[in-house]
Amino acid sequence: MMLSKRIVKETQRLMSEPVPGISASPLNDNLRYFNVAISGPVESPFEGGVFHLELFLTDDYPMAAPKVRFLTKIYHPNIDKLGRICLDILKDKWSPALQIRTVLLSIQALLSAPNPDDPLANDVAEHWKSNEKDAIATARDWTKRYANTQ
Amino acid sequence: MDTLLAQMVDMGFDAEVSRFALEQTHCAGVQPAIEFIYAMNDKPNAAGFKPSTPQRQTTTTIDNNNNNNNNTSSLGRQGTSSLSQPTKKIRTSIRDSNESFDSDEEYYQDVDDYEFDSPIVEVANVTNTVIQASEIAKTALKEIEKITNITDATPCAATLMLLKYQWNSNKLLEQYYEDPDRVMKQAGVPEKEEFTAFASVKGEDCIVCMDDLSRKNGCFLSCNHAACVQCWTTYVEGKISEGESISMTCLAYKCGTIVSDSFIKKVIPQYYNKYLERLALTFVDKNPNMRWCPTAGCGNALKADSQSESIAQCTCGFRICFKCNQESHIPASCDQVKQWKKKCEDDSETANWISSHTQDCPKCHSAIEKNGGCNHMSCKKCTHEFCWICMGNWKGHSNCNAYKKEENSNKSETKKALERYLFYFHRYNTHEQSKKFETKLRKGALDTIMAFQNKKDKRWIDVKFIETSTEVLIQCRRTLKYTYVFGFYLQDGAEKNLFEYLQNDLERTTENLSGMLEKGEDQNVQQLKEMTNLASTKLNHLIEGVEEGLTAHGTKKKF
Ligand SMILES: [Zn+2]
Ligand SMILES: [Zn+2]
Ligand SMILES: [Zn+2]
Ligand SMILES: [Zn+2]
Ligand SMILES: [Zn+2]
Ligand SMILES: [Zn+2]
Repeated sequence: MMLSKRIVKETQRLMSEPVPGISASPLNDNLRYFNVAISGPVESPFEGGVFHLELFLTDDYPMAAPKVRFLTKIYHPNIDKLGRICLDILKDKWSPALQIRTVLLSIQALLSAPNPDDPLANDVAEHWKSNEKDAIATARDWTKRYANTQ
Repeated sequence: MDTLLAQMVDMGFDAEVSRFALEQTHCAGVQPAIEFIYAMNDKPNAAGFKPSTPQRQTTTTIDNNNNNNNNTSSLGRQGTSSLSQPTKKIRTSIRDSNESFDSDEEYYQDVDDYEFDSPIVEVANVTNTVIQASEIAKTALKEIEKITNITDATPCAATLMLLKYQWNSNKLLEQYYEDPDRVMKQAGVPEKEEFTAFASVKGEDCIVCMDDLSRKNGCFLSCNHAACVQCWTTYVEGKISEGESISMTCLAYKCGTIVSDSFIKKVIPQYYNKYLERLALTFVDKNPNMRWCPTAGCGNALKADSQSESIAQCTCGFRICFKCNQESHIPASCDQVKQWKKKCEDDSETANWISSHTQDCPKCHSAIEKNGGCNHMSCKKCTHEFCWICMGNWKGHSNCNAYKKEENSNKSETKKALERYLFYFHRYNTHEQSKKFETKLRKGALDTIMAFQNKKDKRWIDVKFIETSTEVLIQCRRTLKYTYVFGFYLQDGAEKNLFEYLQNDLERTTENLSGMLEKGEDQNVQQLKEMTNLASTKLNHLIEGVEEGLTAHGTKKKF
């Protein structure tokens, strides 16, 4: 399928005016598949880590939301073992007026503000609710272990 | 006297009437007593059977006894005594008769008599409207039109208001007259339903595809979120296919502006009809008095005509409980059925072996395949007659329905509990299987009726009656199926004994009726009528017995 004008424009803008803390670049042989890296926001348990994600634009894009998944292991109540993300705009709140840029910004915000009341990973959410301090310590530990750039 | 009385009760006569008739005829026999009753009861059509039209079932209502409000007494039982005495004039099969008709008029006169002569006891029947799948959109649009005509609202606004009032147009209009602005606001009707279509928007790109909008291709609602025609089309198409209609909003993120029907009509006319179809679906989905018929491929909508109604029947034969949206489950309660289904799911592996269509003849051991609903089997090879459910000899076989505890057994409690469950599940399942076969019979009868272009054809009446009979049969089956759920949760004791007595009675009659109907076209209509009447009487006995709490008081008139 021919790449739409919209995807071309979005890609150009992502490259020319990147969002701070986020990098996204398409594969050379598949311009609908993006390698994404998000740095853990400051003052979050994910600070200091770099998280890799994959983002794929289906043929329905932008009528359907892009498919996004964490590749780096992360201890977060809204992200499950397979890296799937519980985020409303990736599901029923999707609007074709949203863009790759807005999606990635929302994911970054989710790292800053985990929401254990709308969990995808139940055990993590339970942990978060029953002992937030301990859960945050685990998240820090995982960040060091799996998202360390050194 | 007692034997004669029992015989008459078995035939469906009221016990007190029978006793009286027997006394009056000096206990000379059943025949004189029946003749006495006929002579005594010289008013035809006491509990006449009213032919039902495909659109509407108009018959008596019997409600589920497990009404949440416990107001059983106020439930809509319109019928008087369910026991009708067979009326005086009972014609033998018209097919066999050699009467000829001099004129149409005389013939129709005769047809009417014939139908009303049929002594069909009114069975747990329901009053509800069935909206055929093809009529749903039309019906919904008529409602919308009614509101637009009266209120001057646009179709979109009218639908929003109807939705808000759950399609109760009377209530809507009442409130609307009081305060139209408040009603409109509460329903989320946009203040201005303006939109711009096919405009050139200078210096702006489509917020979706980023094409420029300078070629008379820009469209936007009152919120000014502009997108091109192509993107709107794709968007609306996708939303409609997801089932959205009236609540469809602008394609901008978090913009709640409603995409109006007039916008769709103008910008995407090719999807306007599809949009209206979806709109019609909300007419059923969001209406507490309406349900979709759950039968696969049916598509009809069922509308209860009053709030107290808890059961509705579809023209396809399915009967639904409005409270739990499952198959109507008299005499069991919604909770019992829920609990039972959960149990069946949990134990599905243990119970799987039961649902087999082949078993060996208990006498000659040749394999017998069951391909009908009747559980009174006879082996084609050795002619041995047996009960498919318990595999016992059919003759002298009774109380196949009552679970007998093994008093002196070393079996563990778990094993005993499992055996008890399997006993009930087996019977529940067998009646469901039988019902499936018998639903095919009903369909066959209906198809035959349809095939008769000419209602004057004498055979039409016979087939019409066969349809009525299968209808009664299916009701008996459905009820029998759920008696095993009810029985499973019923404590041992006098009530259970009485219940099992009624259940056994209904079961035997049902198998007899099923056996007759399986013979197909080759019917003795007179015998079939009597059996149908008997089955519906037994069905009423059971349902009323349960309704009245299975006490001796409640059921004394039947013994
Ligand atoms: Zn566009
Ligand atoms: Zn908007
Ligand atoms: Zn149906
Ligand atoms: Zn129910
Ligand atoms: Zn045999
Ligand atoms: Zn049996």
